[in-house]
Amino acid sequence: MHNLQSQIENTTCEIKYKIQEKNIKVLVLDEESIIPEIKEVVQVLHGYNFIFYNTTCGNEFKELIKKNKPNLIISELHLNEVEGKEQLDYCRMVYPEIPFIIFSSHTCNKSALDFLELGATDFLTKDNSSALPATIYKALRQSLEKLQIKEAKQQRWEDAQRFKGLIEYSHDPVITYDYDGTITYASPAIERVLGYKVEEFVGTNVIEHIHPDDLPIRENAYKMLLESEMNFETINEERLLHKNGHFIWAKAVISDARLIPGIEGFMTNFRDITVAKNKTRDLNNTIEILTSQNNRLLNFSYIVSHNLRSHTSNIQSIINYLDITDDPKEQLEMIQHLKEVSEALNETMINLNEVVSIQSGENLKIESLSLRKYALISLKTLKSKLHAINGKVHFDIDKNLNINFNKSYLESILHNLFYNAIKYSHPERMLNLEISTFEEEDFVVLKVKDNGLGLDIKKYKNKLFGMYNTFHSNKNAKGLGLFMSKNQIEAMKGKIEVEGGIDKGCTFKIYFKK
Amino acid sequence: MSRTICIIDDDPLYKLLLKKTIERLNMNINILTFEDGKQAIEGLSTLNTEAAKLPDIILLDINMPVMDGWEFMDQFVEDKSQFSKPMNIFIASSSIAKHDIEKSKTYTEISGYLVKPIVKKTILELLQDKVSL
Repeated sequence: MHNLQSQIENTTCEIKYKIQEKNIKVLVLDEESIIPEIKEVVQVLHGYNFIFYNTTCGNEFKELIKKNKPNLIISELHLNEVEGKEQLDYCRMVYPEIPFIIFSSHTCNKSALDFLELGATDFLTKDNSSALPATIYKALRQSLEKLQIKEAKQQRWEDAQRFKGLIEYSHDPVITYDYDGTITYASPAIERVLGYKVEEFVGTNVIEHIHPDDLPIRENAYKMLLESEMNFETINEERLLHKNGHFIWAKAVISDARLIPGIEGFMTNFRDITVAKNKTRDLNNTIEILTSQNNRLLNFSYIVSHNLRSHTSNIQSIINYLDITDDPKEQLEMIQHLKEVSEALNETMINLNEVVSIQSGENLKIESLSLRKYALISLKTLKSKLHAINGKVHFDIDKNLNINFNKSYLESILHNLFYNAIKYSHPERMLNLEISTFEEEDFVVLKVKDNGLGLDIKKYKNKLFGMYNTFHSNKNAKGLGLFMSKNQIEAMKGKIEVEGGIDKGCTFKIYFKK
Repeated sequence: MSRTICIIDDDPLYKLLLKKTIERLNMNINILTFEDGKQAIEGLSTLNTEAAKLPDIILLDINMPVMDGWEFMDQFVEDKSQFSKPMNIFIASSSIAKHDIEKSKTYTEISGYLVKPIVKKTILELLQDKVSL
């Protein structure tokens, strides 16, 4: 725009320079005898070197134009064989940029006007030849202006085409939209990425295409865009709705183009990053699995270090003692202890074996199980224990609620949870056990709430699900139940959470993957 | 002068054998036992009225129910100014995990780390103040 403007403004000073630089070729459609006269009068145009060609024949005229590309045509109106009017028509059509001056011996005002209407640059009569230099000068200048405007337009058109091409053939979509989000333009790549035809997409609102949870990110980006000096803002990832109903991940750059003519709104170009995003997700999942496996391994080494070692150190002690005592009674006692340790060691080994089998349990049978049915069965087996402490159960599980799980794991987990609630009920109040379910994201959640002894969850959260950790002075506690349950749940891609406090009871939540 | 050794551990067999080992030394040593950290803190506080009854040496297990060895130490550090007598605390654990040994070094109140079984020789060294980290 600016460029064109300045080009036009500079035309006057440039023109002389340009005309001086080359010879001015003048094609005269008239008798050769007129040329000296013209030569004579144009002498006042200093510094220009005029070269004249002339013809009185129409066909030759056309050939001369084609061959010489004259800067100027001077034509008589009527010649013997040819009408100037015809040639003018031809020139306007084929070479509109070449000035065409009628230089006539006839003084017919009517036809002068006709010719000007037909596109002649000017009309002069031969008795007014002194005006010819000024007319020529004016015509040449206009011609140059026309050419420059034409060139500038051509340039602009090419630029526009190039930019349009860049956007239209770009692999990533570009859209523009108004302040209220109405889409005003979408590049064809939109169909590849979001499934919409351009004409379907234009006119819809940007908001319709963004995941509701990601809208705050967008809003924040606009806020940043309007507040900051920058003209663009990058959204590293957001979910966009594909026409088919699924979401894709995209990285978007929003530009403030409210002051850009032709857009007067916002512009967003975005890239489909779903593949990369999925790869990252898979990688993170792998890391999570590895971390959890590593934690289990650490836990396992801790178990070995503490629990297996405690048995072996006892065996060492007994043997040491056997070495130093001669009392047969004491020796017998030691043998008895050795038996006990041996049994305890065996039990620990069995437990460890169970843990290992959970952790490598990839070929587990998974079936659709009624949570209500198995919870009821489990409560039934604990009926006498519940009865003994006058426990009450509020049971609310939908009979149509099924989960995909391993049957024996489910039985073991439910038994553990309910039995724990009974074992750790508060001595001063009757057990009130609330069993319910709800859904959360990809999970069916079983909530088991008791009003028992509770636990300082903040303090023991990490130990609660560890192996051989016990918390109450309960002689029967082995510290295995929750550890096993947690491992079984995690082997089924679920999770277990706990809330509560000392004397406040516990609430366990088991998340079953849908 | 009689001396007192305190055993804080939940393993009955270990306690029994250790008691027997100490008794066989015939050195007029009193033995005090607690089931877990919580009982030990409470018991020691009660004994505090008579400084003579407080132990000279404490053998502390790590893995215990209710209050484990580390939790006992945290509580002990908080309460130690109240005790009328300095007590030498030794971790006595079957754990040979580096993690546990390193952790014991973070408590200035812990005089040493002993790996079970605790043999006669170790007890004698303890009584002669020869054991250190």
